[in-house]
Amino acid sequence: MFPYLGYAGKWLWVDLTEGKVESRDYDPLLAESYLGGNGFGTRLLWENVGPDVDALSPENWLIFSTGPLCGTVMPNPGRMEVVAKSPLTGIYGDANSGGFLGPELKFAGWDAVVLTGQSPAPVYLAIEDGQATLRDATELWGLTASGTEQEIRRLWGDALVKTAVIGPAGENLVRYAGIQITAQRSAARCGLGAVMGSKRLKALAVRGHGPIRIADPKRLSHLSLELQRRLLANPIFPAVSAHGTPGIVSLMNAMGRFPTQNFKAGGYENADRINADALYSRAFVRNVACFGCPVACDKVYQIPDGPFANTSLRSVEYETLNALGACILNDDLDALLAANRLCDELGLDTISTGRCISFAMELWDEEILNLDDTGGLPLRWGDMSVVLRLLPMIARREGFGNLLAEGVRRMSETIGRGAEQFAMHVKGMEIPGQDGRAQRSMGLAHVTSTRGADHLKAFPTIDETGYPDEGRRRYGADYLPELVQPLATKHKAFLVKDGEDFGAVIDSTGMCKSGGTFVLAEIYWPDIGAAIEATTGMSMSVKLLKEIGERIYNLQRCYDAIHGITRADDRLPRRFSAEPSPTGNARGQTIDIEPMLQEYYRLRGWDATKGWPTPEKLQTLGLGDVAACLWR
Amino acid sequence: MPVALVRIHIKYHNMLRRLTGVDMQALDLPAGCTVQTALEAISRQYGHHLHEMLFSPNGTVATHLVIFHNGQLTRDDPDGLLLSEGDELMLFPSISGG
Amino acid sequence: MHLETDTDKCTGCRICENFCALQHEGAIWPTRARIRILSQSDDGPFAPNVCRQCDDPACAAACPVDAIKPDVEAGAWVVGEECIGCQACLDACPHHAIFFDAQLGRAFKCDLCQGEPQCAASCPTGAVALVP
Repeated sequence: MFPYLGYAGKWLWVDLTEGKVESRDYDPLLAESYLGGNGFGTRLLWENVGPDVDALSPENWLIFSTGPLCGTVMPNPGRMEVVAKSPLTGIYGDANSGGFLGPELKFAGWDAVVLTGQSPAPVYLAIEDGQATLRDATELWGLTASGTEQEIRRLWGDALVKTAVIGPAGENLVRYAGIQITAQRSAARCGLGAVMGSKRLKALAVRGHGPIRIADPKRLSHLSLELQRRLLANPIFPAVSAHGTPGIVSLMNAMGRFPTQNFKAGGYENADRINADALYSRAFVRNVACFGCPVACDKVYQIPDGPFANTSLRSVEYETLNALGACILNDDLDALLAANRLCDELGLDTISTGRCISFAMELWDEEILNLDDTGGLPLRWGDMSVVLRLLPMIARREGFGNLLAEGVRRMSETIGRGAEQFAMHVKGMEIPGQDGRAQRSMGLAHVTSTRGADHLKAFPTIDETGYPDEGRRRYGADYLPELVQPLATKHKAFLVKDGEDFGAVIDSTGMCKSGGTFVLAEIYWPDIGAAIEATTGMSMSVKLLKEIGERIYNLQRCYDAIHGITRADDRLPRRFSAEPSPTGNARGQTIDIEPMLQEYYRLRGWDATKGWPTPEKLQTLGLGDVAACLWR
Repeated sequence: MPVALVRIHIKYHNMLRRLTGVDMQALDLPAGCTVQTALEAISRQYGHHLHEMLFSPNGTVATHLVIFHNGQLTRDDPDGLLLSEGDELMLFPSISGG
Repeated sequence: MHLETDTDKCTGCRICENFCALQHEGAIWPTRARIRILSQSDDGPFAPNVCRQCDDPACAAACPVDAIKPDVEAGAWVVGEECIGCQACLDACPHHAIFFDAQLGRAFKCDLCQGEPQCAASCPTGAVALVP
């Protein structure tokens, strides 16, 4: 009997080759050492998917995993983690989404769904409380994301069914296909939609009616209300709530941190045409929240007139405004929103999609690509008519789209002719919307992220523009002022490590990084420890919790290490160190990550030559078995 | 004797734009004015909701206000930063994220 | 006393449902919440729906065993132990704000949490508020 509340205490194991669905008990030791979510997925991946497994083969595992705080009354507890080996990078892969699916899975009585194998024909997994079955998805195959969800809801006669679906991009194994969560949110990165497509799994559909039992309801209720009160009292809560992530577009642009023209620059002269104010006045309809979130950073938008009239969409994020805006020199907001919606329907990660296009546009500019390469499509900066044609071609792997579907690293290898110097990726992952030249910690974060270039593993928010109050509160006055100065390097290795460990825990609990933990920076280690205790009944000191965060992050690094990753891979594209940033607060800046990186290895207790966790470090984290495997 | 004036420009973003209803304005201030003077002037012009975004309860400039002076992020003492003819201030709530 | 709701302020977050169920059931359990968010689509608009504590409630009038009685202190109509599970109250309520617990075989509804309704206490936007 699983001893902890807050969890459902069971997970679903699905062998798609055999068509078998089985219930498994949640291992209490796993919960104590890895919590759930991201940690649960990391451990299962380590144990079951070795270096010889191709990410798109049946042997890869696809793990949907909630955590103990998912679906509770904590602020922003609607997150679900998806973990698998990434077909984009060939290393550890994960993606995370908000919405309502994670809580719904727990209401149905399951903490996680783990899938392996490959179905002979398209199927979807239907979960109605304790009943889970694989159903024929032949009729769903080929449908868009929202089309798939609508059809499942129609078939079930229930508009409240929550889904995770792939669009055509996932079916066609686009290496950065995402998984759409309730159609318009996305577990976007690492190409996990392609893993789903390779298994011929079109969707997960979930309906649950049961309880999530809480160990100490009074304590959790009191704590959650107190945290909510703190969030609402934060002076910038109104700005975050009113505009969500698009609210930072013009600010990051002024910082020189808003990737422009494939990272040639960090500022876009027309950024104000695609910023939060433009978006709000052009298309805002209403605020909508994920499960249990007081911030409600999501909004419904609708284009009122013009060629894209009545296009409605949600979850328009900073990253997309960058990737399909500044980074391709597009200032046509309506066309940007139409492209965003199209990516959602096709099941494409907007970040990687945008980066593949900006990469191709720069190659066109440099005359490395020509009309023969592109099948007659001129790739001029900002030409949205071409972008809107390219998106379905990528999703269906048609013509030039087939090359773009491979991601920036493979594109550069295939194209050759010097394309490599414009390929903006780390470890095969397209770099998201930050620039280390303007914010040192983000440069380091892109490099040390276990899933390749990523801002969300370390998510250093405190020094984006400088949060002295939060910096002092979290780390103490000794770390100021450098800790919160975007261009200082001192203490940034410390900030990144703490963020990675804390982030691993947040992603393992089912909470959100955008509403209080990183953005707003109100909720921190002691709050999460207390919430886990109140929810589960497990005792959870801050020391123990930090150890869990380190354990998860170290294990991810070990997973990368057995896939050949060493410190030689921990580097940024040359552009960041060789080309000074031309605009904004970062004007004239380059970045040298080397000193920060050395400090980072030292703080992590990693071997500075190999960049791997040392056997001693792994021993202290209870990962002796992993050390034996890595350092044999 | 007439007081010499300098003309500066202020750009508003996000909630500050919503509260002022404009994205940019010109402001004539006495020569020798500082960033603090400018913030006090617009605070008088737009009322207490804007004031709360610009100043802490103790009257100092809010740490949650990000100020760019001629394109450069400034975290210096706003009362010590002199403004000259043609200067531009950009004001943001200090949100973070993505 | 009763709860007033404001569709324009509701973001569909379900915090009210969750705190309600936690208060009454010790669990997060939307299908046992006494307050429910109604909407036509995932994109809203969202309408919080909860018992109005009517002056002359149809549910109480329809009850064959007079199980729905006023709790004077809380200012709420509550379902008593006498409930036989006939569900006549569910049919009678014009607001669909009384529910049936199939496990216990009893109706359940908002009791205003002894005067401190958790939905109103937890709603971050003021879409649910207690009014005298």
